[in-house]
Amino acid sequence: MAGEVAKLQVSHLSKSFPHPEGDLLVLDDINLTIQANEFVTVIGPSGCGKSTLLNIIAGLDQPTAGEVTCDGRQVEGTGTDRGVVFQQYALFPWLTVRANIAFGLKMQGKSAAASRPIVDHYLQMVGLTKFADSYPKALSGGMRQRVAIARAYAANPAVLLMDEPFGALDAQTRAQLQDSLRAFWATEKKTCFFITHDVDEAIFLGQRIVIMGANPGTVKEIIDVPLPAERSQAVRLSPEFLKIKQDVWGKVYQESGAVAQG
Amino acid sequence: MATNHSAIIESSSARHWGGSRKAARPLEADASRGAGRPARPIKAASQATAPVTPAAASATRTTASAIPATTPAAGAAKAKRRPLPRAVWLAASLLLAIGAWSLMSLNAATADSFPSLIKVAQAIGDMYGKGVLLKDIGSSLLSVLGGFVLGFALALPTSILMAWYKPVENLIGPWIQFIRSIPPLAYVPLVVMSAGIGTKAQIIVIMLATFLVMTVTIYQGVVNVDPLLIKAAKVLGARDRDLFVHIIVPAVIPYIVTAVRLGATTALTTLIAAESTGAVAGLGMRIQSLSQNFDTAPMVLYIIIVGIIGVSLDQGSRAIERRVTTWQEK
Repeated sequence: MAGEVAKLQVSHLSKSFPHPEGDLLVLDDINLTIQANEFVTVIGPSGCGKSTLLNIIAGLDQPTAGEVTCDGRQVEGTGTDRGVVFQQYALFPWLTVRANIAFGLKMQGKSAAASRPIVDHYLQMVGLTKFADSYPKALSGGMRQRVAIARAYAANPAVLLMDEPFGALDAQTRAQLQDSLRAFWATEKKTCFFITHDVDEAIFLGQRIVIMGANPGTVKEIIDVPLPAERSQAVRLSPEFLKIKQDVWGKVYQESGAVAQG
Repeated sequence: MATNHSAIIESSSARHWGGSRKAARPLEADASRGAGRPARPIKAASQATAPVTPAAASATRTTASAIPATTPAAGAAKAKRRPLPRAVWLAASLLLAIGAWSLMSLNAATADSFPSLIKVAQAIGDMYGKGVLLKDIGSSLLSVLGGFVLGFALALPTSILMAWYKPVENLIGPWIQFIRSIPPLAYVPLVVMSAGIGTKAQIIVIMLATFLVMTVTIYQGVVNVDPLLIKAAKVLGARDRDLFVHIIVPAVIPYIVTAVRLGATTALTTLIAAESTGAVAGLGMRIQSLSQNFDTAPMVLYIIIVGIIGVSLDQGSRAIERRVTTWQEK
């Protein structure tokens, strides 16, 4: 690590929102270091500010104090080095699947001819070549999220920020997409920052898990996931997985215990 | 850690390096699920205008559902029970209306309002012969078109300014709502006082009425642009100009088309109202003047013409609407 610049560095970051009865502190002194090509999952009770943190890293929101750097440069607004996948897909409904995936390339000034092979590649990666000319309305939720992932990938960001991307999907589709996402990540490495409220998902996908606490949002603990790099859904039943799960579960629910009791 | 996990790794990599294929398989399942329902209607919709052949119908049925009953014979039997073509229904509906009208024209109590349709048909020649029919239609269409185009040209920037700048909305929004709730007929005399009787006054009134209704609709569209889509575009590198061209405009277009449709209807209603208070020519003016002589046959002719214009405007704008909003979820 010495001398090397971290891919993402969050330093003493705080965020408060103005409120008539005193400002509302949402994030309190967050510190995080994420290395290039690392897959980090973030889990925490609702209201712990994890989405706010992601928005700040994406440049969609500004911190009240502290800073975020990407490759050593301070983040001041959105940038094509950081892509985002949203829970609600956020596909452009008036564009076909192909045009949605090409959108980032178009914004970067690539001609249609130059972006075509790139779009074809990612269409194939997410298995939606047949649906290239469909509009999003014709796709299921899982397919829409695949398009969103392909769209983020096609713009070729070094960092992929994902805000509960599978949160709105049924369990089976969710498992399929988790497998796919790990496969994409294995073939085309990106630094992944993945927010979830699902303990299993956090463990299955992450190399490290950031556990956040709420009111105000803090980083409570960061734990390593000592599972093999290549994982199938079957890993969920392994004793190692269950041990980590018990550990994380305890920490997350201890955190939201007040809510559970209430 | 390798020893502990070796079994798992093995099974996992076996699955995984089906790898790319494994990724593809769930997708196919996903895809067929998608194709079963929402994907197919696109095709179906594009063919919907042409009558579906029995063969195509049975083909769709076999793929769409698992019911194995679609032998060609069953398909043909189903085809027989299919609803009549639209044209047949239209013809039947027209005959029914003519029948009802004729009954009313034979009944002494209603005969004054329902002249015989033969006389109405003859009125076409009469009014044309007098040289007023085309002049009236032309004059009215000019007012509708002029007022509508001006109203739209004003509504587009006004609604965008209102949606983007809160002070603009706060200052003029209430007045737009207020004036919109006044029937145009109420302020027509006021307009006539400055603009005089004639096309100019009608264009002003129609402009005002269409401006109000279209502004409200387009404003809704600009306000309703999903902020998430703006965010998504931003993180993909869109700048302000891109956001306007690639996100706001396409997102608002359905509202603009709806505004055009509402505006066209409003233009026609307002026109008839405006013309009946005084005009040199025009459909509304003629209906009014004919009524003073109890000349019902040409009056009915004119009323029918107004209806035909109204339906054409509505159908025309609906056709545009369908064309530009194929992507919308219904």
